[in-house]
Amino acid sequence: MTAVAAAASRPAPPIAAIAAGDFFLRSGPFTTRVHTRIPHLLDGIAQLYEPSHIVARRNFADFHVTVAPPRGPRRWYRPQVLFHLDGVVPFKPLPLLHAVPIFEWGLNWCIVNRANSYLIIHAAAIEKNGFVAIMPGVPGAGKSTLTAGLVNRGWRLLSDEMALISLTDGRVTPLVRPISLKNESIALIRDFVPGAQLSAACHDTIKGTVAHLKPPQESLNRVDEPARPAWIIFPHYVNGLPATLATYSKAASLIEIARNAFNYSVHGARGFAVLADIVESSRCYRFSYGNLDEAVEVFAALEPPTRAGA
Amino acid sequence: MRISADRLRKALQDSEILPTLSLSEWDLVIRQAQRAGVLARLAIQLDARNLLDAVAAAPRQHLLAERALAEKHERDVRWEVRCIQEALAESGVPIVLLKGAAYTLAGLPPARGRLFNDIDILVPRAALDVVEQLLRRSGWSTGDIDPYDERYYRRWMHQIPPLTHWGRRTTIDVHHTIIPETVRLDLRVEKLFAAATPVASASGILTLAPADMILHSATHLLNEGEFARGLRDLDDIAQLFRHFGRDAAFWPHLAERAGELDLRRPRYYALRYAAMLLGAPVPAAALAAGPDAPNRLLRAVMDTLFERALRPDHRSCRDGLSGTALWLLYVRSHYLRMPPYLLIPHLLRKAYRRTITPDASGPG
Amino acid sequence: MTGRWRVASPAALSWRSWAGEIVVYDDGSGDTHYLEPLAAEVFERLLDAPADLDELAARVAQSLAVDRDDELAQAIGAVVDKFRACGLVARQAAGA
Repeated sequence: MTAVAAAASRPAPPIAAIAAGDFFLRSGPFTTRVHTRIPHLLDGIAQLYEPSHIVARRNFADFHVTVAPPRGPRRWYRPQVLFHLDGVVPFKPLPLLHAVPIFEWGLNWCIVNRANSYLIIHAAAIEKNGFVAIMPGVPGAGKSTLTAGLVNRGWRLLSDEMALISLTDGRVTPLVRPISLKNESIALIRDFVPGAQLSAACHDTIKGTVAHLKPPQESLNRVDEPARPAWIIFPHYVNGLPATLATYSKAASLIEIARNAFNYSVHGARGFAVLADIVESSRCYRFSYGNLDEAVEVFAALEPPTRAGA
Repeated sequence: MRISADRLRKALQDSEILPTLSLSEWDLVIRQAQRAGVLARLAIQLDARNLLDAVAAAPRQHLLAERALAEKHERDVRWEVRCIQEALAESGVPIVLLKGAAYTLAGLPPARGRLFNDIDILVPRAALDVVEQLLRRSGWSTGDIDPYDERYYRRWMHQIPPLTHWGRRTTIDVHHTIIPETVRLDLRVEKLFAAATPVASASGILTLAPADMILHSATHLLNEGEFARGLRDLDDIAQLFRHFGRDAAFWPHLAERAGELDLRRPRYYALRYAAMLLGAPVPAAALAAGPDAPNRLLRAVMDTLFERALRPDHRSCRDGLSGTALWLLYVRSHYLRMPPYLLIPHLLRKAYRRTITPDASGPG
Repeated sequence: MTGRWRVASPAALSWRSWAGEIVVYDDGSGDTHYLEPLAAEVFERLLDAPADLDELAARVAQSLAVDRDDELAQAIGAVVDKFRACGLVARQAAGA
């Protein structure tokens, strides 16, 4: 099981805070204190995250995370790596070379399990002209590839994996984490986005070959700007299929977006009301596509709902 | 390390200190409270006093998250009790709710800000088979269980193995006494049923009488060697003391009842540690080292062990003796429960199981 | 399926309706249900007032302006049975 070093992206300039192996990383509304000495993880974080979001000192962190080899023989023999959240170990160990994916998946786990002050949808969220498209997606629906393409063609990234919905006003809070890409998508996006900052690919993970894409600079710069949902779009990728946007019933959209919410059941009647309001004031579609350029065109033509309702 | 747990213990007594905390103090308190299972109750207590907005934004998100979880758990518990009620209604068997579900259905202070796992009920021993059958008929089952564990549950503990509902994935633990068969203490279960109080909103459902509720909680905490939620369980007891102890007659009644049920020692420790660690308003007379108390030396040893075991299960609260303290209390709990010739093999088997890879799930 | 049926705990329910379909949230069970047009209709008619299956069929047929035939009656019976199974409706106690 070897990981082949990816071609190309130049390593980011070293950040002093990271080198110490104990630093604070900001992603959207969350601050994570990270303890790790694994060199390729430190490099990966320096490459994929915004330098101004990495600091040596903070008074408060939401998550206290350690990524380190386990005790015992697996420290050296076919070395492994473990993710800890302040004494909790959510995953079995992975090969040491997969330190970047385990860190990213671990951070996802932290947010999904702890950030229950938000309604969290398993969805991508992208924004243009003040309007957000929420794209709920089961694995294999191609939402990450679509997201990676769209945010490099005029859309702002709020999140590729977890849409954070405010329970007070229904707006989407940006998270802006590296976009995770799998298998063929990696090469596809490398072609689609000249100068793409991609981490080294990790082969033979539980999800296949995995790499992460640094978000566009503007998305990173605007991490403090929430925005209002205007479209709910359920994507479905099938190779060769022409891009088709079909209106989807609001009732069906509400059920399906609730199904895709990690913590819908936590928020009870409040969660129902927030999602129902979002569905009410959004245009709802099913979207099939087989080609990223066509998808970009369809999204470029999306009309936001009129004030009177969608 | 005593200082480390102090702030959290003080906050449990009076949440008003919390809005004054600095961000770095909050950083530690949140983590400790999370591990101890008491973050939700801090959130609810602050909310009840309209102090949530006075907390800085970053820690406040965690409190809001826990409050949402606690509200969900309360909905879940009420629904689950209803489902249990329906499943068992035709048996006519009295069902006594224990622990968290009892606090919730009886509207007692420890119910607020509680996160639940299983539901525990107490039924007459003669009704065990009927109850198990009816639950299975309504969709509960034991699922895959190690035969050794199953024997252990049925013989040495005081319950059917936990039953999980196929659809809701909730678990119910059915007990027929609140102390294992083999224990040297002799418990009169009929007295518990005789004193149990019906729940107004749910027919056929009862809770233990106040003194019995406290004694059960105390016995569970101080005799069963499980301290992952130790601080929370102690705080439950402290809150019950505050609630029921307003009536001066309660304290002598508690002592008398402890004598009847032969739970004198757990009562003593519960009073001692709730007062010492969480400032529960226990009258001096009740605290006095009477015939229920251990001798001075044993008391000093127990103080050292329990004070550590009742800290939050967080590395900031561990010192060199913490591991040993937990181990000794664990052994003690089995010593209280099993004859020695069974105790050693059991401990060995548990130790062996612990060295096998932890049961963590995969990522993604 | 005899007897009169009523919505079990209306106070625990929230729902939204779009183009003949309804989504209902039940705060008791924590469940969320999708009701296709016929089920949505049955739900709304029972919200108006409790009814037995015959009355229900009459109300639904009138509201939807369709024939009141066996097929409709059967479909309504199946809907009410599903509602009962998930706790949305319950039998009305005699004399209530």
